[in-house]
Amino acid sequence: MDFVRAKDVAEAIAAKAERPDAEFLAGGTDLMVAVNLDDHRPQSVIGLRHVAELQQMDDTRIGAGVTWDRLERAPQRALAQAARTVGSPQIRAAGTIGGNVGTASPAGDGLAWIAALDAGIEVASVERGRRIVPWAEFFVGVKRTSLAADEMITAVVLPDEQIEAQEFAKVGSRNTMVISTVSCVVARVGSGYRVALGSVAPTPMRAFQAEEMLNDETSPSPAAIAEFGRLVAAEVRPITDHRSTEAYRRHAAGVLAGRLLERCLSS
Amino acid sequence: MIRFRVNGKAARAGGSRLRRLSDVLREDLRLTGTKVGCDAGDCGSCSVLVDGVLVNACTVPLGRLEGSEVTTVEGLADGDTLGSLQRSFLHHGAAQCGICTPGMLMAASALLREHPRPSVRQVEDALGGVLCRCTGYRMIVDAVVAASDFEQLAADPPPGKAVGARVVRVDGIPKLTGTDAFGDDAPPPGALLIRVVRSPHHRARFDIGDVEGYVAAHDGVIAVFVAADVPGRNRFGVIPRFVDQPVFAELETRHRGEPVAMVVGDPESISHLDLDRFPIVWHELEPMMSPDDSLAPGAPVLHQGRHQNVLVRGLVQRGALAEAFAGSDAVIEASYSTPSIEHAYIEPEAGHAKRIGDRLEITVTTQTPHLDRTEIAAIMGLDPEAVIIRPSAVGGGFGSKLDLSVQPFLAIAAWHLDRTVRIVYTRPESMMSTTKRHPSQISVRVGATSDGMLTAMEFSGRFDTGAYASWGPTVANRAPVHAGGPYSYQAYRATTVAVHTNQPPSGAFRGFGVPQSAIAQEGIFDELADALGEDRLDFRIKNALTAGRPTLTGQVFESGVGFKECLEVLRPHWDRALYQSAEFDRSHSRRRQGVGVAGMWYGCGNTGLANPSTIKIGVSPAARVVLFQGAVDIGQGANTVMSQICADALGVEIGVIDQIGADTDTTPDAGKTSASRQTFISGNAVFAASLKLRSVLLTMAQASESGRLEFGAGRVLVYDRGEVVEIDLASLDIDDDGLVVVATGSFDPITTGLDENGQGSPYAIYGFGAQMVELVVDLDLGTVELLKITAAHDVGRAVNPTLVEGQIHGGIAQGIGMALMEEYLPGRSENLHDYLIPTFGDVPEIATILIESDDPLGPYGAKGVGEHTLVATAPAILNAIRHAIGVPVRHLPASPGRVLEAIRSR
Ligand SMILES: Cc1cc2nc3c(=O)[nH]c(=O)nc-3n(C[C@H](O)[C@H](O)[C@H](O)COP(=O)(O)OP(=O)(O)OC[C@H]3O[C@@H](n4cnc5c(N)ncnc54)[C@H](O)[C@@H]3O)c2cc1C
Ligand code: FES
Ligand code: FES
Repeated sequence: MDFVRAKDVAEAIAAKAERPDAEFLAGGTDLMVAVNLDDHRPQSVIGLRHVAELQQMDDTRIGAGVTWDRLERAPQRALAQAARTVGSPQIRAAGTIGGNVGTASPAGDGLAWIAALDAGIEVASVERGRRIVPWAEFFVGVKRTSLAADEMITAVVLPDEQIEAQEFAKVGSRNTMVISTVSCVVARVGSGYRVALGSVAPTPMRAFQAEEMLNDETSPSPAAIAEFGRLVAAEVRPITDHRSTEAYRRHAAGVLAGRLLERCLSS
Repeated sequence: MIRFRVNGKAARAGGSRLRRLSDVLREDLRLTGTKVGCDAGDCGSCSVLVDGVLVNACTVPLGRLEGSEVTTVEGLADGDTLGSLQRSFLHHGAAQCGICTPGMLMAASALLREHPRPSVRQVEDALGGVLCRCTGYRMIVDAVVAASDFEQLAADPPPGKAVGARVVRVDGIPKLTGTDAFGDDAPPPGALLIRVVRSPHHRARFDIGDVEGYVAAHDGVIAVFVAADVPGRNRFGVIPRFVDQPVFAELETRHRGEPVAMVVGDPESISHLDLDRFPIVWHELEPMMSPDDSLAPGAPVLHQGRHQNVLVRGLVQRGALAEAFAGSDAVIEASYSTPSIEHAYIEPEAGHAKRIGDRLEITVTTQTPHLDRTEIAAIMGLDPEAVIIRPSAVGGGFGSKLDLSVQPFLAIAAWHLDRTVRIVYTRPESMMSTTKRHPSQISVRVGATSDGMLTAMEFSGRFDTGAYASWGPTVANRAPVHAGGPYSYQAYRATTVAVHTNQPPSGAFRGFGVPQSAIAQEGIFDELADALGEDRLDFRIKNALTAGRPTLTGQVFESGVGFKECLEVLRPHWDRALYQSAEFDRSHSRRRQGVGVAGMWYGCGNTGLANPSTIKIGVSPAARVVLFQGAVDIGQGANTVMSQICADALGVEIGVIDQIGADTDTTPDAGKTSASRQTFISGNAVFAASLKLRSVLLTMAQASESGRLEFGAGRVLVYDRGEVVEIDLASLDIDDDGLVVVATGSFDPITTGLDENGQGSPYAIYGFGAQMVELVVDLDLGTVELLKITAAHDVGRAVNPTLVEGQIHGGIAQGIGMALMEEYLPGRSENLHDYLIPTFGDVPEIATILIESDDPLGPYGAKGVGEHTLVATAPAILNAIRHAIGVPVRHLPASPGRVLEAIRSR
């Protein structure tokens, strides 16, 4: 196995162009677990921890290498809320948002936020330079993305929009170190509403019908809020597994969406 | 080579850049204070600081370390001089088995650096990534909150005052410095590594292919062993009549994870060997995953002679059942079920072994060295005397380390190869192959008269005993003895059956079937009390078993029955909690506060079987008292409790006592650390041995019975009637153990077997308890937030209140897991992120109330307490949920989905 320690993005993508089957290593909280348990033996690894550019963040751009513990203090409220629920202090000190996007687990806690804010994933390659892939095109299935074999993730990029309010919540079976059975972000953007969910479909998803229903209402009535929750529950596509059932996930998605909407309205 | 620094010293390591730091620390640098519980980021026991940041060493690749500064637990203490955080841990009882302690200390030290006086909330957040299965976390929180201001540990109590004192753990220091050697912490250099080939199927036949070719084709593989290589009996089992489990399966594997072969080789080459390529062809068979499958007509029989897959049946009955039900004003019946539950100790099974001529020496994490010795001898075709079992420090057992796990592999490989060998299970391996708590399906019917007096109970329990017998017979026998709870009935009938399936073997897990049956019995009590319009606590008090009344097996105790006191002492808490829950409900529409209570009892020791323990105590020429402590301390504190009893019985300070660990060559058999028997039974043996030793010393000094002993440099002084006599130890003969005076003591409580109706005196004493739970249920999400647990336990006498409270906290935490989240599913929850156990955030404030009923048979009045503490927790939680939402949840775990389903069924 060979190990390349990239100094900058150019070096990282050059290495990747040479070794299309190489794996990027950011915080290692997903990759090392796979390696330890022997179900994964990468031929070559490109280490990203020393790529300074990936560590940068501002109001509209979050570098792929920003760790969860920094995101706990992010200006984006829902992202900070999500960050606080990721794993444990140890996991948050190492794990990055880029790794979360790269793994693309349906339960990735950063992904509903990315979908809710209509963020794009900025990727880079030697061949095509930089481009921004809309989130809905980036996540294509359970732990599957449209990232090409010679590409890397450089940042999560937010559109230039006025976010009035944003709230995150998740449900799981214990209080710390818990994988989401459902996660949800509701945002008020300009005069419209957005709702995105995790763990209820192969990829993060938006509940567009629920959004549309609300977007006609300037200050939604309790009945409209209830209807919003119902529509969210109707739109999600969860499965039953050992963590929870289809029925529970569907129901909880609607409840979380309704609650977060109320919080957005009162903030 | 990667160069970095560890605890201020230069270090370097080579090999793959993806090697994990935990492995580099433990294997290359021999810093085994950093523990490994999962290799997956889930348990936090490998927590270290890298450049001041707390991380899991198992997710840090070597490639990332160049120039870094790593701090491990070994960097915290200055030799044996503990820092204030470590002293605070010791004082607060924050380390039980100690396997999680290094990780906890690292997380705490990172926190304290930024917040020297942290709040409870800050501690819970900062330490939240480290799992502990023993302590229930609250004492750890207390220790960290108090750490910065912690001054000095209290001095040992004066002679005669050790029992009842909060003496700190006598074996605590190594747990806090990271030097305690658990199963995988001290493998001899050069040891070969063993890896086990296991069935990926629940049930399968198999053909092993070209093993010789396989060995030849793989560098570093030295040998492969299969069933034919077992020198003696390819069967083991904890109960002589039910020895049925093969070391390696012969034709058919009966559960996922069952061993079929082992590969032995040099560690570097084989630790990453892909065992999926082992030459074996599997023929999958239709598995039977529950008793419904294996009891079905025409179902295949897993073990010859066990008709319909029934392992054993149990029965206890007394009184005229039909009449008693007929005379009832209310009768309620319901069915309950509980899933398979994993022990999830943080230390996976591990050990090492070597052959010394015609003897085998095995160092292993175990709860029962002498039983291991007997079983290994049979497997190896050796005399028991040819086998030495040395228990390592045990990082949690809870019953599962009563069964063999790695021992046979170590024995067979060391014997055939005449090389030192080692093994450590991965977390998935540990979970798929070791025993579980019996899944249960229980039906119960109970009646009472309109004045709230119980009349009759009928209980029928079906226990899934999995692929092999293990402790199935014990569960099937203990459950019916306890299933009615500590209450009085006119008539009672309980039947149980243990049924084989293709689940992993079910064995012993804190309570042997009693926690499962208590869920049904205490659950239906609430429904009955409500039907009668009785207060739920009053109903229990009215019907509580008292001294002078017969138990379910017709045994009558004249004293030592403190159950009613446990219930009564909860009264003010109960009234307050009910008031507060009503207040809460008035001001919340979508959340409900509930209060629940449950009672429990538990017989200490084996059920109606001999139960002996022998303890030896001696005096060394240097005037140290040497206690041969055969009662294995798996974190519960036996080492400390036995020292306290010994000190008081001799009338000396605890500081003059040294302990020799439970090694089968030197320590007499104190029996298993199970069934909450050690404090009661081995405690009595220690008491007897100490009195004998004292009497021998007094006689040597020609002193009277009231003489006082004082151990000093090389001599014992005896003070009697104003005179002092010196016993000159140097003038005495020294025996093989290096001792000059020796005494042994034994104890075996008087019990009787059960007759054909299950009547008799199966235990010499019972412990009792009652727990009350306050919680809030979110009516829309079905989530449960625990607020407080109040636990009252009759412990006879608290030899060490801190240790007793530690047992209560730990049992409660496991009860919380059982009630709310734990469910083991073979193939799906074989790790600690799919199998969830409680974390810091899941265990609420716990108030403990110790009732000291002063048992006439216990040493200084003490009873056992280890298993008792878990029994009442889950039923009390379920009862509180029912109180909150108005409908019962009868099937565990009460996950948000299940609770919501119940709410929506209203
Ligand atoms: C105990 C534990 C608890 C956890 N809890 C949570 C949780 O609560 N919520 C949650 O969402 N996740 C959780 N995770 C998962 C994980 O921590 C997160 O997904 C984290 O964000 C991964 O980041 P990383 O930097 O560690 O990724 P890495 O392991 O370094 O990488 C993950 C994957 O992404 C790829 N990758 C990384 N960076 C790039 C890049 N720049 N370009 C292209 N590909 C890249 C890697 O090649 C790899 O395939 C948990 C993990 C563990 C072990
Ligand atoms: S061993 Fe590293 S977290 Fe469990
Ligand atoms: S003391 Fe924490 S796991 Fe044993």
